[in-house]
Amino acid sequence: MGNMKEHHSLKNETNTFQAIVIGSGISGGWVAKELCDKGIGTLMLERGRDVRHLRDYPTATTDPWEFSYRGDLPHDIKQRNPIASRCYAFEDATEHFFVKDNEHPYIQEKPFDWIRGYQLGGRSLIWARQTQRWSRFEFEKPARDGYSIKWPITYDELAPWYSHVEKFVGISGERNGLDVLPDSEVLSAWEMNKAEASIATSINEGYADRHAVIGRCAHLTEPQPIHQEQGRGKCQARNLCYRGCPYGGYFSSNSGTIPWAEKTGNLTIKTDAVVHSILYDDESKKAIGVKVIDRLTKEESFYFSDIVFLNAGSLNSNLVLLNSVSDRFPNGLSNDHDVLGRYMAFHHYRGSLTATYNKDLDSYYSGRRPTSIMIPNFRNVKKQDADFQGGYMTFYSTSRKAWNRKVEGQQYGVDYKRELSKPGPWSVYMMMQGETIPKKTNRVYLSPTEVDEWGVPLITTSIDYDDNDERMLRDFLNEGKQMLESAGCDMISEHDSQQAPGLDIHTMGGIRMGSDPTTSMVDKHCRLHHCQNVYVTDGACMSSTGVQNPSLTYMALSARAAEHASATFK
Amino acid sequence: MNRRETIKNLGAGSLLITVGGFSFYRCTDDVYVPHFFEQKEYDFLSAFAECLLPTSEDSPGATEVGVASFLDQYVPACYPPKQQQMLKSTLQSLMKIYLEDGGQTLAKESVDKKNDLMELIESSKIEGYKPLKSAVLFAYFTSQEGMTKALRYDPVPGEYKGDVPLGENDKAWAI
Repeated sequence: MGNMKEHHSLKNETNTFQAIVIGSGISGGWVAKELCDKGIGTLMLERGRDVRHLRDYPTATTDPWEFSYRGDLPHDIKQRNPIASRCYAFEDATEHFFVKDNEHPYIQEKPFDWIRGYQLGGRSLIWARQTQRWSRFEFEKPARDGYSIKWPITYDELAPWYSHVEKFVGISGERNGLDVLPDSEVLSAWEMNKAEASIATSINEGYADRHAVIGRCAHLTEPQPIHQEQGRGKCQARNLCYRGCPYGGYFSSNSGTIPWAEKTGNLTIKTDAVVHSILYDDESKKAIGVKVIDRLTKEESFYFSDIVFLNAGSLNSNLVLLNSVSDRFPNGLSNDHDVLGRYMAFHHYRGSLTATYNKDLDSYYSGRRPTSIMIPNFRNVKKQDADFQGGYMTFYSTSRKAWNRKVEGQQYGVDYKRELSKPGPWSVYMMMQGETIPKKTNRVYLSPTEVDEWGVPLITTSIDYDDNDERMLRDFLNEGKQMLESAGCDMISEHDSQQAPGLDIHTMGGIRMGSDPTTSMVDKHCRLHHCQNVYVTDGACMSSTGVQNPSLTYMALSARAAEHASATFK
Repeated sequence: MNRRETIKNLGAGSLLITVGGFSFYRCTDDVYVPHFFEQKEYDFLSAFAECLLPTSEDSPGATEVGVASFLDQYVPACYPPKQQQMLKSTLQSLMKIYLEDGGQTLAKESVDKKNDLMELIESSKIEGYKPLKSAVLFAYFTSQEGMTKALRYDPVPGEYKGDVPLGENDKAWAI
């Protein structure tokens, strides 16, 4: 538990900062940028290795055939990494940005695929880059329909912060004027291809409450001065994003917030710094700093600050608080009511549909678009009217396969080869992104016996689906099938991946936001109720999951909380 | 010059590339010494792949692209042991069909004889034939020549156009 007086005596000029940010991913990057812009001396702690924009993207311009396994990975690597291998983006071109299973063990009380990126920039290098604002319905529905506590903030409160981060990040998309998916500050939108547009027309004309519109993503379609100032250029439609982008075409901490914060002269970065715990001082009732274990030497050190931001990623932020024990908080920092680590939720991706579309065959496309078509949630929007709670967003896209399809005619020879070289009919892929219900029983906790090589207890996951998820899945598959049928698709088939939670890489909660300290961990400013100079602004603070890709909301919450925290220094 | 001398001299057709500490020969099949396949299996595989995806007006055939040499390295690295053996035994079954049909050296047969064999193989429903064929297609269409000549490859498209008229002979994008 440590003696705080002893810790205080370790303070010196080199280990003391105004603010400490734990984590350098998409939310930590934003906190650092905002604090540094306000002149606040900030230390960013990253448990992984240093990864710098451009310099550390070894595969960014490698042609596909130059990889030994051409997108695949050796069998022994897959066998040693069953968890990482289940991630769609884990391949020979990207594996260096993913945590290997055996490097960082955890305990799965129930199956949970934890996909991690331990390096400077975290998973902002390897995220899917889809960015939509929450609507007022996502904030209001959980309490309205009784499946979570009331969000202490409204859409209107967060809207200016969405605008603030969107302008810096650069979001491509349309202004669709939809109440279910509020408009962002947008750069020009990507185009739909002809088949996607035909299907969209069918959906938009066939259903008054459904809107098929082009996706919004963190890609620079028309860089503005603010992006040029970051050294970022236009997205080149290569769609090799998971390798790191040599153009800075998509937003990451590495290409955006971190170099920006460094330029202010107010940022210190320490990589290979595994945060063990946050140090709590009972006298001031505040955190005074953090205890860090060096990843390589295993040496212990301490860093001190006036405020601490916890942005380690949902599960690891829970881990740090659970491991921050003191006489005052024996069950984890600010955890007086056994809320910490509980009410975790995630996104439901199990359902998908595939189909073919045999019209618009005179049209093709060029370039590789980094987004798809989205249909904002149309279930339980204004009132609870489905046989499940929450909602789901639907995405679809179409493309034309070549050699990896069945062709007519002779199955060998010159004609066969020629046929395989041509684009086939349109392949349609449709998927869901569903809300799951935050439940007390879906939780993470520390192993009482096992620790990792840095002496930190292993995290144990106990997170699972429930009946609500099954009902939502059936609804999506039925509705998706109907939409594709009406649009004239053939060979429609339904799929349930049965993937474990975690593989969505959208785990949220555990340190949820709310007004009542007995049922939540942080207040509306993302501050711990009982330790008010510690802020949590990553996915861990989410009281419900919404149906949107979450990163944009984490960024907006981070910027908003940083503004609030900066008042400490006025 | 035999194969071993050729590989020692590393002729113009071969190029040693290193990716992630792993050495790889990229070369046409006829200057490569197999490690995973037996020489006989390898020769047959290369000739069979050429029958499946022969040289045509606008793009090289499977042999020139190095389908067999790629698979000789890719299969033992990336396939689980069971599938590795499956691929080999399928190849043995095909060779047996061919030899029983009076064949000797597939690569040197006449076009008619090759077509006869392919008809025989395609209709024989050998277990494991589909995966073998898929492996050959993968090796061919993900090779440099496959992507740039049989298909179209644009490393830096610059933009996405959603509606481009498709001509009768337009090729598909490699990625």
